[in-house]
Amino acid sequence: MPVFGRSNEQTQFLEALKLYESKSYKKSIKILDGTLKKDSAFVDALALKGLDLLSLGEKSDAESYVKNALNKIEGTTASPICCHVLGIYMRTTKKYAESVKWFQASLNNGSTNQQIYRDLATLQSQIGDLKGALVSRKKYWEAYLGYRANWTALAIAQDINGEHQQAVNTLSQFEKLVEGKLVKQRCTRHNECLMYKNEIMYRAAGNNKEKLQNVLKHLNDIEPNVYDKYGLLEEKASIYMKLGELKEASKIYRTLIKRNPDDFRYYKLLEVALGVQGHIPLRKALYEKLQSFYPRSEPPVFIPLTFIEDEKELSQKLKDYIIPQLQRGVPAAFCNVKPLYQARASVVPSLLEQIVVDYSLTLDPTKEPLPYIWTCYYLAQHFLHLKQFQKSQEFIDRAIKHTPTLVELYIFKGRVLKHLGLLEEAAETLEAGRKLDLQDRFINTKTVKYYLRANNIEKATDIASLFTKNDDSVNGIKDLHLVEAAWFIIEQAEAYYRLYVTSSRKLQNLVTKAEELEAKEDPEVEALIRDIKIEEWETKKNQGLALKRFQAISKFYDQFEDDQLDFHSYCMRKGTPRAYIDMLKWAKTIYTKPVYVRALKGAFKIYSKLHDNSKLTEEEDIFSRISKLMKRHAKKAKKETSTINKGKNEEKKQVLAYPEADDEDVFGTDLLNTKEPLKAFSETFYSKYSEQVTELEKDYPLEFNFQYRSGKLALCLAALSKYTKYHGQKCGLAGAMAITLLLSTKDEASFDVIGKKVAIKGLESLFPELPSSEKDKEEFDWLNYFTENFNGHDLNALSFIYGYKNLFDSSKVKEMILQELANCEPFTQNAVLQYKL
Amino acid sequence: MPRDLTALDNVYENNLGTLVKLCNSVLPVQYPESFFQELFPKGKNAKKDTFFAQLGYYSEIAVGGVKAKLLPNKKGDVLPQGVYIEILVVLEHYRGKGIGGKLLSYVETECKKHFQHDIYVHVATDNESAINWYIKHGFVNEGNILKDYYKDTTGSPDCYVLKKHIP
Repeated sequence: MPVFGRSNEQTQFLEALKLYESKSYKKSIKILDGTLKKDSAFVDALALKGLDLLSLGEKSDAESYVKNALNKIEGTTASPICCHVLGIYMRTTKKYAESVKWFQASLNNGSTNQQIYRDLATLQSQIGDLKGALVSRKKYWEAYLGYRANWTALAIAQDINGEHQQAVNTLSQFEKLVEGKLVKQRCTRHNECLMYKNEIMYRAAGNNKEKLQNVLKHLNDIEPNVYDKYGLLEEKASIYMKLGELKEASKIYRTLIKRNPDDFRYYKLLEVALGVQGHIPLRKALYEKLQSFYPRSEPPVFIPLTFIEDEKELSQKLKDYIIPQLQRGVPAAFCNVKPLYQARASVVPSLLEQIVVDYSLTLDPTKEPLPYIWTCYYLAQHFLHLKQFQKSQEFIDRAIKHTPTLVELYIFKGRVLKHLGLLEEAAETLEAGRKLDLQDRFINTKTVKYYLRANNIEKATDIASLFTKNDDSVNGIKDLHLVEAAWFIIEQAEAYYRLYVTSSRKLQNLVTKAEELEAKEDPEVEALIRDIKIEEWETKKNQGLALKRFQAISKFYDQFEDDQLDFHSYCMRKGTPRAYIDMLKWAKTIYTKPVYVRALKGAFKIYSKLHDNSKLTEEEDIFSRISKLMKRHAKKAKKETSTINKGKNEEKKQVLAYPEADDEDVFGTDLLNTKEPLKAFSETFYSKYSEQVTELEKDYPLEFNFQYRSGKLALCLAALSKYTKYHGQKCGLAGAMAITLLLSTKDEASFDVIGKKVAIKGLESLFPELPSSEKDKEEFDWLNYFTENFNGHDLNALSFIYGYKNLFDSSKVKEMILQELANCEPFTQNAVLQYKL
Repeated sequence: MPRDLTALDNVYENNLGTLVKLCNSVLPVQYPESFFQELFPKGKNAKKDTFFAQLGYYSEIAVGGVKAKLLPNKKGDVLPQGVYIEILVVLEHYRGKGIGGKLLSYVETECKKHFQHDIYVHVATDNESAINWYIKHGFVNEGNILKDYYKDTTGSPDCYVLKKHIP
């Protein structure tokens, strides 16, 4: 009687389930093993065992059981409990879409467990299935009407789906329910929901005056219950602005200024409300008045400096602004006026130079030591800003000589040296400053960064490790990964990349030399084998570690993305709908944040190199050349390889980024062995970036380079056309891309014919004057054409062209780059000379 | 009365570098690292002398420092009993603001606490301003010159011994 037997198994299974819920995984497995012995096709038991194993941390075993169960299930026809178990497994292993499927299946197959809806809603929100989330939220809300969280959650889901009116209704209904029953602890949540409701109304109102009046009325009604007075006032003011009631708006902005007279935004908005933006005398009068009201506040004094035109008056105002700060010894004096240096570069720097230099001459270093050093500090910053490095250095040295115990001075001196291209000296200077106070974390991290810039990874790691948790490792690398210290990881990645460039160049030279000796049958070649082996390892290691670190950055951002999961339920419970909406907005932009983009660009350099190398012939590829050499010196090579391998264990400890058990590719060399570098790049970096980046911000040259390597000329054209849309037709990069694209349509180029045709057609309409008929002629000088018709001084454009060595005469491009470099500061010169050419 | 900008604070292992920096900037003599490290003895065999060390601050910037050593009365010891100021420095531009005085009075207090009555200091013979400063603060120049006292110096290698009696 199979039915009878199954039911016996069923009881056992339920017992195992209970044990799982009470976290006795091992006991649970024991029972399941018994059931499975009788019926090895019992999918419920298989799935639960998978989940038990997962909870015990045995991932691969767990996976095999779950796979087994999945194979035995047709579609999603399994018991509701089994589906639920699978859903939980998928959620824990972060396969959210799968998890949604199984939770949904559990409900469809008759589960009466309403709690599933909440988990389902959370997961649907996470994968961006907004419609599904709304349905689930509603179901859950219907089942549990007695919780505020469910009402809030429903309203948010409605709001996100564009059902503004319904959202407002939901919130209103709940307000009625709680009227008179609010306890003090709940008031903050209530206030947030009130403000949220108003925000939805405001968004829904658009420019409709009648609706806006309604919103305003509501805002006034809820005012006594709202704690976020700033939010309330800001919202009120912006409604008045939209309604055109500027006078009322200006009153509110004045109230806001009174509440916080240091927020620059309110002053700007007040100007708009008063309609005085373009009128200098009125603005001046306004700020004079405000200054008398708020004499201790920064904005009323500072803002006039941004618009006063009369030079004499401006000079006086600047003096009144800066001198008291120097007298008081304000370290940030220069930072305060830096925006003026940038916005009014033609007037302000020269005026301030005169003011501060004159002031410095009146100072006695002994009678007024503090104004003296801070004035020197200011002038050093001033001259650095103007790129007068010599003078800047003089002033900072003077300050250090006067007071050698002030750490700020060392940090700044390091910066000057950095601009002079003296990276090692800069790092040493920071180190001298750091030694003054070892517990100063700011200087510690700064010093680390400077050492990394100077490619001294070892020293940097040692210093950084002073502040990390180094329980079971020799240094702080692991901890820095754990705490997602992106600033360190990205700098380290870039340092490894630079080291890689240096060592690969060395390797190239060594191999060439060895081959020459070999050809002459010179026995000296034996001596080079060792160097080559070492350099080969250095090259691979540095390249691999660079890529590994860039990937670590990518993982951080995946983690950020993943971290949202908890907030889909947490924010509802805590009653913070506005913050939740902000988070959702933020999450849509994380893969375009600067550090991520930096990692992406760094990784692309490596991946595109790997791609290019895979296209080389055996005579060109450095590694096949090496193995050829090694074959002829097998004995020596073998010996050297074993010495290097012995050293690897020690090195491993130094660079270990994750727990040793979880990381089989410590040096990242497996990453380098990928067969499809472009695909790997797209998966780990580029697709996520492309999905989120705005059209304006997108890096089109990179898109071009990527699509070019993928062999898609039509998409290169699309990148070029978008680029010209935002940056114009005459800029260097537009020209560089256009010519590159044109030359890729040559008959002998290995792109498909359709792509070439599309590219030519597109170029003809985008750049009608481009002499496309010349493309197949050897003698036409495209570089000359480029400099004559586009901005040929653009270093980025020249570097772009330099990347296409098969299309352009690279020695000539190099010359052009060198010419442009002559006008750059030493720091840039070194960076380009050492790592790009 | 304006607020007092000067203050004293202990020397900690973490900001020992500040004291090193001050000494090396002010004094012509170069002291070895061990001279400073002995403030924080490490290991079993480290000597455990008693030191009095402070940093002097002017508006929260360290501008002066002192390191003095207790010379206890031990049998057969040739050194006189008391407190010996090994270094006392204030950056050139911050002198005359009372920081040195504060540092000295700190040493005097410690001296009393440890039941000592004499404070000694060595000053290079060519360092007139320092000699005058000590005399102004109650030290007596006992007149004997120690020849070639300083080894690693850019100034005079000879020095005077100055002494202050604390009743």
